[in-house]
Amino acid sequence: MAYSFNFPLVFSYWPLFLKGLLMTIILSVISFFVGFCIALVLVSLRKSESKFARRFVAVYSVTCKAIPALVMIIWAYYALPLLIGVSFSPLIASLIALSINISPFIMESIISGINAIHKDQYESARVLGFTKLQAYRHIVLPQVLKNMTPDLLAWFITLIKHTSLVSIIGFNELLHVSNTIISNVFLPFEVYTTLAIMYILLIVCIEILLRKVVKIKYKTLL
Amino acid sequence: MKTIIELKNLSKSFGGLKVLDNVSMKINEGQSVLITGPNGCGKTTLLRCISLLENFDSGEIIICKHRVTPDTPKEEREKIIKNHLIGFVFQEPHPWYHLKVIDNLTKPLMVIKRMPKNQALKKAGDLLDKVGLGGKKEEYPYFLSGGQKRKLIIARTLIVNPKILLLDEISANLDRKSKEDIFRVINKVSKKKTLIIVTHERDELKGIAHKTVRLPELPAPERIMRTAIRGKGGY
Ligand SMILES: Nc1ncnc2c1ncn2[C@@H]1O[C@H](COP(=O)(O)OP(=O)(O)O)[C@@H](O)[C@H]1O
Ligand SMILES: [Mg+2]
Repeated sequence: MAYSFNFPLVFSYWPLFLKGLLMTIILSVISFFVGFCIALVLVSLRKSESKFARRFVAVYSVTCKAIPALVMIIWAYYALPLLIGVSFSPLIASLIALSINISPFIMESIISGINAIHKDQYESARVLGFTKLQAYRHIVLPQVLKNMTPDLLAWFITLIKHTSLVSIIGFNELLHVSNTIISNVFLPFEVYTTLAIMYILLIVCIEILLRKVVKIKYKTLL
Repeated sequence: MKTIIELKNLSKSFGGLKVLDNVSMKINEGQSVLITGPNGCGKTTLLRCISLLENFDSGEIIICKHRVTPDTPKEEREKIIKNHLIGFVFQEPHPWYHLKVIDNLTKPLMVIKRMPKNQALKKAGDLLDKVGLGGKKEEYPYFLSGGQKRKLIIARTLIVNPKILLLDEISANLDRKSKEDIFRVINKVSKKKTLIIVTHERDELKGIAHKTVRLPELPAPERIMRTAIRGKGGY
């Protein structure tokens, strides 16, 4: 017997899909933002004079790169609460795991971005009387971020795809929503195909949008 | 005459290589001193030490009564830098590329001196007019010529009004007309300032120099080693 497709039935669940999409976007944006902030802190530690701080960053970086995102999510949800005695909602656990997971990669991008900038940029600010922090904030980082935009975009897209992993702890993002729908209508082909197409559309939109924003902002630069 | 800057037995090595060996000099307020010497003899290093960007191994530097030794703590060095006694124009002209020409000057005023924006714009605009970049205010430095970049860097250094100006080969790689242009600008804006000028153009600068210091060439075998050490610095 041939499989008979029933896309209309699946599409009738669009409010649920939309909710899942929204959750995916929210989780991605917040995790990326938090991950980026962690990365900035890591960069400042790595660039600090303290040997201990630099060691810490090295260990943190290796550890977080080694642990698969899925393992980290499960660990944050099931194991971490046992350790600290506080349990988290799936959202918070996902956020912790995903942002920590992406942070060393963003850090590496920032560091190589900084190293690509001529050190005169930094030193000229320092001789003028900028503090270390001011020189990074006003002179180095703006240039680094501009050069890094393609890198950051790539990490953001990676992160969006990683959010599908958190369906395993029951967070209502796209994949989890899809599984819920399947348990109602039992149409895996239609649902998963719709899901895949939604990811494609999402990422294409983000790519176009961000490239446009960046172009406007730096129109006058090369 | 008042001594504004004094070096006593300044020495500095990179790895095993002694770049500055017991350099001493005394410079009076308002004087111009030329520093010459072959490439790689330590001229830039000397200026970096004087500007406190680089530490040294032994000796001392006295800048306007502030005494600096190799053991002077970081915080104190920062404090001296914050007095804007010294302005340093680097050998290579690197404007801040992400900022418009005018903002290359307003940034330091607003960040360090906390000057309100309109006041900073006025001050920066006046100085740019003076160095001949009045028509380039709204452009990005990427589009400036080599000579114009130098002028921008000079203006950026002068915007905080330093007493002592260190100029590191600012006329290198420029055609004759641009060179003259740069020196004219320097003459115009450096009234009453103390100048320490690293240069190979001794003849052109004879007019403004009070004395010339020639740094000795480093011993030959070490020159090769030096190239190997370079580049591991970074920031
Ligand atoms: N950060 C550094 N690390 C190692 N060696 C250096 C460093 N900076 C300069 N040197 C060496 O010291 C010598 C003097 O350099 P520099 O002061 O730039 O010479 P100059 O400006 O007279 O051409 C150079 O030959 C260079 O190889
Ligand atoms: Mg030099």
